[in-house]
Formats: sequence, structure tokens, C-alpha cells
Amino acid sequence: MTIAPAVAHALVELEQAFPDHAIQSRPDSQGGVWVIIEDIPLGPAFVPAVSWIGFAISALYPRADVYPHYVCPQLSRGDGAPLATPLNAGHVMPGFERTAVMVSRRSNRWDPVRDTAALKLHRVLLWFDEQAPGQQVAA
Amino acid sequence: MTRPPFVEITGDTAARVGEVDAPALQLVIDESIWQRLQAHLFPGDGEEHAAVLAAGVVQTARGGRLLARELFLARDGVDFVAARRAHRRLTPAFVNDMIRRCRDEGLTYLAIHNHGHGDAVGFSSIDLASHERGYPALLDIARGQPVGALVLATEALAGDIWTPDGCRHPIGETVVLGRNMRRMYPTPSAVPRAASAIYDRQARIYGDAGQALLSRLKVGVIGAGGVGLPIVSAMARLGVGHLVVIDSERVELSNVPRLPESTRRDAKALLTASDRPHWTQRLGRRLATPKVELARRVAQRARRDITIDTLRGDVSDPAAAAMLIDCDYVFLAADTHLARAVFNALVFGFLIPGVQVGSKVEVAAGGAVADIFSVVRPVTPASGCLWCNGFISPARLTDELLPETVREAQRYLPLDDAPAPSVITLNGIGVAQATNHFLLAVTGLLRDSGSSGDYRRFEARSERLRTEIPRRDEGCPECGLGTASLRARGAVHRLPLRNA
Repeated sequence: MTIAPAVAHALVELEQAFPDHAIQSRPDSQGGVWVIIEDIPLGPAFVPAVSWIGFAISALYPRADVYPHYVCPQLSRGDGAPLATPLNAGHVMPGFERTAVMVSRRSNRWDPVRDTAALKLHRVLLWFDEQAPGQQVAA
Repeated sequence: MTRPPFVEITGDTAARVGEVDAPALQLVIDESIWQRLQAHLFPGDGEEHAAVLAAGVVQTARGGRLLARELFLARDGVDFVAARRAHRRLTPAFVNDMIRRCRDEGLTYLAIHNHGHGDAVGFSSIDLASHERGYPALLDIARGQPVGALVLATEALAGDIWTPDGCRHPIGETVVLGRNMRRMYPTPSAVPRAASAIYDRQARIYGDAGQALLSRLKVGVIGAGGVGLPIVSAMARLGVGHLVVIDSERVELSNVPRLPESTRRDAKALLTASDRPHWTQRLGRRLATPKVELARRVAQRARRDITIDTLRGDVSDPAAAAMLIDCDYVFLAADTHLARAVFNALVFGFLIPGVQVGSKVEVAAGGAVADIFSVVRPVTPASGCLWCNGFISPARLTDELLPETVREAQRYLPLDDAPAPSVITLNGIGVAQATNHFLLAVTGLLRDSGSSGDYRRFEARSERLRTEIPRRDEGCPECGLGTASLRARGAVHRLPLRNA
């Protein structure tokens, strides 16, 4: 299955942005890919503090947003509070068929020129960081 | 006649040039470039001036089209100077700069100069001798891109385009896309045959030439539902020669009140009625008439001699795109963001003007009807695009590409599955506005005042028509002029398609 050139470029950028992490990708049937990056720190607010993180880069990338993301199904809040939107338990990440917590951080201002899959992942990880007590919540 | 795609040839290019019987090409140019070019070539001094046009190329079933992308004006006395053999010539430095720029961007180099006023123009023997001396070398530098020349009079344009396969193509027709779509030829076109008696009333509006033009047009309709099907009917009855209709759905019983000429039989009502067993309902849905077949029936009942190509599938299917890039005009009558993205890229990447048309009934939280409106958004290369105006959502594109099962699984909020309200009378408002816009634009009858691309929204409850001037972002990757934009490149691989 052919991967769209922009999607292939996004994979290269992810490898450059996360050089110390194992990255797996599987093509979907349309020219996009499903991606999993291993051992990503999710910040101090969550248990476990490290998880895999997965997402789709669709055939229409970069016109199309990169969302939702998926993390390990054991994810819980360190303070014992239940998971709340945008975290939704009980999902399966397509492509890899891993049970997962879905992280639905949709970008209403996604800019096909400036936004990338790697930048979006950084923003999602920033959101995880900001959930720790005393951290500012991202807009 | 279908031509093979332009191919890069190896060996001695010069040995093969000179075949001048190749099919004519069409040049498509948007009004802003055209106005700049006209002002530069005909400032009123009666002199010759020159420029270079960088153009994309697209090869389709009907032939080749050159898509004007960027204009470079040659400065008199600096880039365009007195010459020994000719009256004036472009300097080697200017030509060298331009040909390399075109080559590096994968565009066609077109050198332009002007003759006088009038509606006929052609190259002089000096012009042609200069092409024969210089263009073999330019083809070598261009490495696979065509090169050529255009000569203009005030109301005429001729071309001599050299392609890497060794052929020389004339420009048969030039289409200037502005508020109206003007057509120009090297010489005045022959007086058209009198329109058939069946078109007598409408041909009295735009003449036999207008009727003949409609018969030559190929019009795409994306979506054959409550909006697209009446458009198909209108196009067929206007006398449009060739239609391309794309839709993936089959007729359902609840569609019948909005689909002209559809029947309960098309929806297999006896099988799909809610009191029938589930298996018969499923069978009925599978056996129902595809909407594109209904479109074919509607078009052919209107006119037996119409050519209609249909595709039952999604517009983001590469096969659909291959059909649509050959169109002269496209109606967007489907309301997915994927369809909007493909349509937008067709308009700007291939300089195919079009119009988005749709209607909506907004329902408030308690179920009460709120706003009822229809929208008509002309989208031309001279206007702002659907991306710039926020009508394509990157998140919705992501959603729409997912298989239905995955999309359902990803939902975490309760979903209102109630179908959107819709009614034939409301659809009719948008269809009438959009088809009239098309008809008057192609026959050159729109008044010059007003914008070429004003969006219109008819608010049915207050019976008010609002217009909005579309925004335009010069840095837009679709409609902008930045080096990375897809504008006028004719690049199929940059269309937003699945499995491209």
C-alpha cells in the first residue's frame, strides 16, 4: 500500500523529533498510517507516568488534523480523580488493535501550513504536563 | 483525440521538432493575471512589449490545458531590447533566468509579446524563425517541460507550444476566468450554426454562439442528491454537452420527495418499509437505484444526445478526480468536508471554476426550527477559497476518512442521530441561484459590477439575501501564490485523495 508523500515526510519528522523512542507505523488502506511511539513520559499527574502513544496520520495530512491520540489502557490520575474528557477509557486503537485510553484533543485552529504531526504530539504531551497540580491549563 | 501525456525524450530533441500538426491546447488564465498582462502589453503607445508566463500543464481525455500560474513582466529596454533580426527580443539573461525558474518549479515557459489591436493574431515569419532557432535549446534546458510562445492582439491570442515529444501545438482557445468566462481565439470563430428550434427561447438570451458553447462544455456535479439532481436536470435541459456526476449513495424512501423523477420503486419501498423484516430492508437498500443512475435517467430523459459519465463512489477516489479534472465547471452539491476539500483543490489546482450550493435547516436544542437558509458560494481562481473562509474543517476531514465502525467507536459524547431536516423548495432556491450564476458567467452576461465570488446566503424565514465578500490569504497553500501553493500546477498528486 502506497503511503502519501506528506505522510511519509511526517514519519521522518517524528523520528527526528523523538529520536530515542521506538516508532512503529502501519499503513491504513487509504494512503495514511497508524503510528505508535513507545515510552513517552506523560507527566507527573498520571499513573503510569510513561506510556506508548498512538495516533493516525490520515491520507489527507497535512490538510487533516492529527487526532485523537491513544495511550495505555491502565492510565489513571495520580490524585485518584476519575478520568474526564478529553480522556476516555475503554477504546481500542485501530491499526494496532491495542486497548487504550483515547485522548481527544482536536485542533480547531489546525493550520495545514504550520502544523505537523510532531508538533501536535508535543502539544498533546504539553497538555498532559499541564494537568499536574499548580500547572496552567492549556487553552 | 486523446494524446499521450507529455514525456521527456532522450537524444537529439532538435531532430524531431517541426511536427506542427499536433492537437491544439487550451490556455486558462485568471482575470488578475490577464488584466496585468493587458495593461503591460497595451499601454496605449502602439509599441511591442513582452512578458513570460509560467504555466502548469494538465493532460486529460479532451487534450492538454496550460494553466497560467505566474506572470513576469519584461522591462522595456532592460529585458526586452532592440534586435538585429527582429523588432525587439528578450535578452538572453532574462530568458535564461525565466526558463530555469520554470524548469525548477516544473512549469511551462511561455514567452509573450504583442501585435496590434483586433480579433485576429498570428506569429510573423520572423517570430517563427526565432522559435525554430531557439526552442530546441530551451527544451533541453527545460528538461521535460514544454516551452513556447504566445502572441496577443487586444482580442485574440495565438500560441506555438513545443512539447518534449517533438510536437508543436497551437493554442486553440484561451479562457479568461473572471466574473464572466471570456473565450478568445487566434482568429474570430466561425459563425455558429443556428441553435436547434428546441432552444429557441433561451438562445434569444445568449445567442446561437452561447448555445453552441454550452454544447461544448463538460460540467461536473459532485453529489446527486436533493441539490445535485436538479442541477443535472437543469444542465441537460440547457443543452450542456457533457456531464460528469459523482455520488456514492442509493435512493432511500425519505429522499424521494426531494429527488425529481425518483419513485418509491427506486427506493425499493416495498422491501425497505419499516414494518418489513430487517433482512428484506437490507436487501432493499442494496437493490435501490444508485443516485448516479437516477441522474443518468434524468439527464437522458431531458436530452437523448447528452453524454454523461457517472461514478458511484466518493469524490476523494482517484477515479473521480480523473473525471473531474477534465471539466470546464464544477458544481459542489455534496456536504462533506472531504468533498469541499477536493472541489477547492480542483478550482485552484486546475483552474476549474465552480460553485458550492447547499441548504440547511438549523434546529435549536428543544427541537424548534431556528434558521433556514440556502448558500451559494461561487469559487473561482480569482476569489478566496473555502479553506481561507473556514468552510473546511481539518478535524472533520480526519473524521470523514475513518471507516464508519472506527468513527462510531471514537464517539464519546451522545450523538444526535436524527437526520437533518431538508425540503425540495429550499434546495430549489440554491439550485436556481447557482445554475443562473453558471449560465450567465459562461455566456458572458454577468454585469461587470460586483465581485466574481461573492458568497450568497438566502435566509428563507426573513426572505433576506445576504452577501459576503470572501476572505483571501495570500499565503494559502491552495489559492495563494506562494511557491509551495498548488495553484495552477495541474498536479493530480496534490489533490486530497485517498490511495492517491
